[in-house]
Amino acid sequence: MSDQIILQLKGISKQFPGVKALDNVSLDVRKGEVHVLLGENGAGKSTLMKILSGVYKKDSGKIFLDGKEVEINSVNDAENLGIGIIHQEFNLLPHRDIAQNIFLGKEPTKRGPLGVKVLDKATMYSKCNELLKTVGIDLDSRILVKDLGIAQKQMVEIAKALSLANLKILIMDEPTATLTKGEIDKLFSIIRKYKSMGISIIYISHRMEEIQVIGDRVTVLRDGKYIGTVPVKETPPSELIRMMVGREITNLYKRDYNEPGPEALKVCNLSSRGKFKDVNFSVRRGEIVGFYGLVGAGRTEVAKAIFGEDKYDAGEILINGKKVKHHMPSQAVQNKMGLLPEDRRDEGLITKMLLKQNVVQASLRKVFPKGILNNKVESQIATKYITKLNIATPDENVVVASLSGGNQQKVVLAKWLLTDSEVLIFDEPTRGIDVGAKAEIYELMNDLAKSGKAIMMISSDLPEVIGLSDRIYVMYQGKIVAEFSHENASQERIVNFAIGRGDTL
Amino acid sequence: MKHNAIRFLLKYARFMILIILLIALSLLSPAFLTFTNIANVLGQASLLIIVSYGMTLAIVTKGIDLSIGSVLALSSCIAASIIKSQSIILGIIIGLLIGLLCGSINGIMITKIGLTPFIATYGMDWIARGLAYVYMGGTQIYGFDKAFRFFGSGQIMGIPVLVFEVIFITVVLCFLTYKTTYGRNIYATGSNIKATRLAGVNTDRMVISVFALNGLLAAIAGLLYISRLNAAEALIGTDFTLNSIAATLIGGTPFGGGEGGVARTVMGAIIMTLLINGMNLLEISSYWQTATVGFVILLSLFIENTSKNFLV
Amino acid sequence: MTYAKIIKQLKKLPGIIYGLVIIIAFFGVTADYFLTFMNMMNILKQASVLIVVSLGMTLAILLGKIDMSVGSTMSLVGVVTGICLHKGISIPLAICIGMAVGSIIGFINGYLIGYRKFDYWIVTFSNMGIAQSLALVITNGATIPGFDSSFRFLGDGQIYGVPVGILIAMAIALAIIYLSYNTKFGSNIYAVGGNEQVARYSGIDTSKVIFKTYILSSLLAGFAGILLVSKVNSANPIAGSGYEFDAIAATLIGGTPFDGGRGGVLGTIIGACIIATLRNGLNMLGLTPPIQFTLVGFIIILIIIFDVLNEKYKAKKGGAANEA
Repeated sequence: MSDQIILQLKGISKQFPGVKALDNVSLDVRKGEVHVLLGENGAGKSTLMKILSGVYKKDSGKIFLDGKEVEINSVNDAENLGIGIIHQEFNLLPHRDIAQNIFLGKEPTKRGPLGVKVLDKATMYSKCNELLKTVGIDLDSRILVKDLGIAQKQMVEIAKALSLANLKILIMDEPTATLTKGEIDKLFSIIRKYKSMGISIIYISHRMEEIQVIGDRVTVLRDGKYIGTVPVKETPPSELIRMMVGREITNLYKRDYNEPGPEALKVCNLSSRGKFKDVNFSVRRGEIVGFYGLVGAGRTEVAKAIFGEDKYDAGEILINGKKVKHHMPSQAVQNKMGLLPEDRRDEGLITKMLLKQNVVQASLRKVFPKGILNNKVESQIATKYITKLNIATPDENVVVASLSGGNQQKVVLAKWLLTDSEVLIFDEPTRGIDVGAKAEIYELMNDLAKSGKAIMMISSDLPEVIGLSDRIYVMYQGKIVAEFSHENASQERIVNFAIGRGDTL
Repeated sequence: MKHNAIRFLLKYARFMILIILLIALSLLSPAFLTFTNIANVLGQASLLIIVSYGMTLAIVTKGIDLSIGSVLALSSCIAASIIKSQSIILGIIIGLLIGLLCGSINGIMITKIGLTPFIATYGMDWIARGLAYVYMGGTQIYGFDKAFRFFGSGQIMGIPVLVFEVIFITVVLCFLTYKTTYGRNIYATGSNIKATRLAGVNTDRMVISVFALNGLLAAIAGLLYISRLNAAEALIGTDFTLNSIAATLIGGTPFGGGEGGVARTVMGAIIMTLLINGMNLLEISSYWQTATVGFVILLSLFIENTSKNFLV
Repeated sequence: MTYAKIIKQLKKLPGIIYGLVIIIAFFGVTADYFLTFMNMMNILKQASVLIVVSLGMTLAILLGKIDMSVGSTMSLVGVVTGICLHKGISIPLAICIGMAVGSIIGFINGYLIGYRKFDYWIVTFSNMGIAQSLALVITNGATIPGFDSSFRFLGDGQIYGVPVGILIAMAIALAIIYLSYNTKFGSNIYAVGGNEQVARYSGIDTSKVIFKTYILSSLLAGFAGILLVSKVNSANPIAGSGYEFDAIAATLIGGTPFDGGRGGVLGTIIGACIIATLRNGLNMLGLTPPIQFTLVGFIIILIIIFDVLNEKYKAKKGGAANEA
């Protein structure tokens, strides 16, 4: 690693409708370093990297590469400059083979019949095999991507980014989220190899242990703002967390543990082919039960099956000791369940409609038993919940799309409180919500538990799971692999179970 | 300032188009402002309005119904033969039931099987039209009883009965879609079907019922149409599908779902009827009609799209 | 390379080839004169038109979209070419003029869908109306009869007993197969259909791919229209109406589902043969045109329903495979 700065971002800003995603962010990357980008969900890391890789356009700011100012207006621009990216979500076409995916948009060509430019498939497949060898996966480049496992797909993504001819900067957005220990080690050795070739790597992660192992310097973002850049070696994790969160975490979670009541939700041997298997758990009144696991571990799938949105193949669901089978969510709602989905904008709210309309959406039959709407009643109910949940809004007649994430989540919560739901499923309740609103939502959840509701909480935010739950279930590859009480929960043990390493420390 | 002006223009564009059309047609054609022609326009507009209500509901739920014209033909042909051979009441009931049935099948194909509304209703369009041809075997049914003809061609105090019927249907549908929980759920389903389902609404039932209602409206329009025409044959109503899409779009119900509504469609249907009536009066070949309607649809999409980009 | 691909795809097709065999056997038994040489030639001529138009539809469906305007584009191009021929314009030039007019429809589709991001259903459906209307306007609703034998050779002629139309259709099909498997453009169609965002993130100009595909689809439809005129020796302004439905069915039967990004044009050829055989067989059974019309509509919608359900089932099975 040298001190030579290869890439400089200066004063980058980006506005999305309703959100300032990036506010005057700067970053400099040295040649051959692993530069970690750290921040909570919604801090702006991915947005910044999407600007650098030409997916988004910046509103203002400058980008310098090798000291020269460059304009990146498209993915092609970025690739021509030698900037490659591995996106967080898979960016592969399932029905095309490995080589077609790796060389997508930059296939080698030759002169074919009649002098037309045609694909040079021989070169493409041999180059691809070479590349796969470099990455260290032993796969035929003609295998369709849909037939690969998750880790193999991730390696193909990596190979795709490395296929750039003049690669200078490689962006990796949470590349290890779905990898096992062995695969992570393999990835790290690849990173070291490319590092020694003078390629700079921008590495997005929030796993402290990884940062310590692989990172050289860390830049922290919070709520779209630049917080600081520090060398990894000289900075303890607690300091990084402080920079990332902005205040001590301890006072964020307020939880009065009380004696839980009878079982409100019980799930026995629930299975759905390809999604989850033999899932057993229970949630009692007055309890918050946390579900931790990696993306794709099957937590959301279990919740949706219980709620009747997805089908399941076998098993039983009991509510208040009574066996139920939900073919569609309307039945679950009749059985006094409520779901606050992971994707608020697409699943939790009807963003085109007004706040008050969203609040009564799940209780239309209860509020208007004759089937005839009454504007006044609707407004009164909404106003009541605006006060009760402290929703920051001018009034009840605003379109929900215009509210901030935290306030939108409160509207979803209001919707379910109005139905008198007894079993509430929170799926990632605070994703993309700022710290202030988070604390309020935690307090509301605490109050709900105190009032005797049974709460199932799915979260990928470990401090949140530990800070809030009575009990914690850990899922890995569709199965529940561990259960912890809040007294004996430890971050390390939970993570080990979640990434499939079991209890071996 | 400039934005406000454009906003104003967009908001009142329909009224202005309507007024311009009225003025232009009265200047260009002496036949336009005659009593017979106005009654004719009102009659035509009434039928298009009824059919367009169905289309509007389909588009509000983020769907479309390409089978409207054929369902209209099938239900009215079968109704016509029963009216001639049995009784008026029975004919009307069976006609309406056939409309309901076709619409429900559309809804079931869309929700339970998962066909896109375009394909499901386009298939229904072919099948219903085909069945109408098979049923009629190339013949025409004409000369209905006076009592039946009253619904489509009668007058009360010089005003076509059709106008009263349309007003009645409008009032019912406006109440249903704007004032009831059922209507709210239609809009919710069109805006975001997943969130609506997760809020405990049986969205499948909503979609099926909307398409069933469409079929019913098409059948009503069909019965009034043959009553007005005093004849029924298999090829009637082909223009209604495209015309009703145009009427819905220029009325101000966009394709995105969950916006607009039946009240807006009235204006769109009147504009479309005047446009077509004007082309007839000016003796422009009727073959131009479909092209004009298609063009109007693309143009209204274009204006909506551009103004959205502009105003944001 | 292409050869291996073709074999691979053929191996996946036994189901539909059996389907074709069963249909032929059924009509062979039930309809007199079905299994005659004359009739087989007729089916091939009929199929050649459908193959060409279905190729364009398949490309549009591979793109994850659809082109409802192909049928009326056929009519429009047919009558434009017919009028040109009657005006004494040479055959190649008349064909070029016809195709140029047809490509305008593709141009509008491609521009509005690719660059303006309009809903592809409503755009192609409106253009279906517009093209149909224009075909009626320029002919004033009348059929243009009777063409030169050299023009009729295209759709109706034979070389050593093989219909010229089917040879032309095969040549075009080979070109489109080559295009879809061996060029960047073909690969990009699959990418856009597979996942438009992934394609864009990979630096593909997705708007341009969509634009070009719709133009190609209208050109193929136009040529099919010309073949049709040549085959029946008259240019009817509504001759192409309904071909979009047959083309969709041919594509689905051929193994290219609606969701885009998979399948291919090879299966479509067999799919088109099945539909052509079906239409011909029902005709040979002596059913009246309205009954044929309804029956084919039924069968096609059943095929579509079957296809959609089958994809759902496979998606579920696929989930299980990932677990293993």
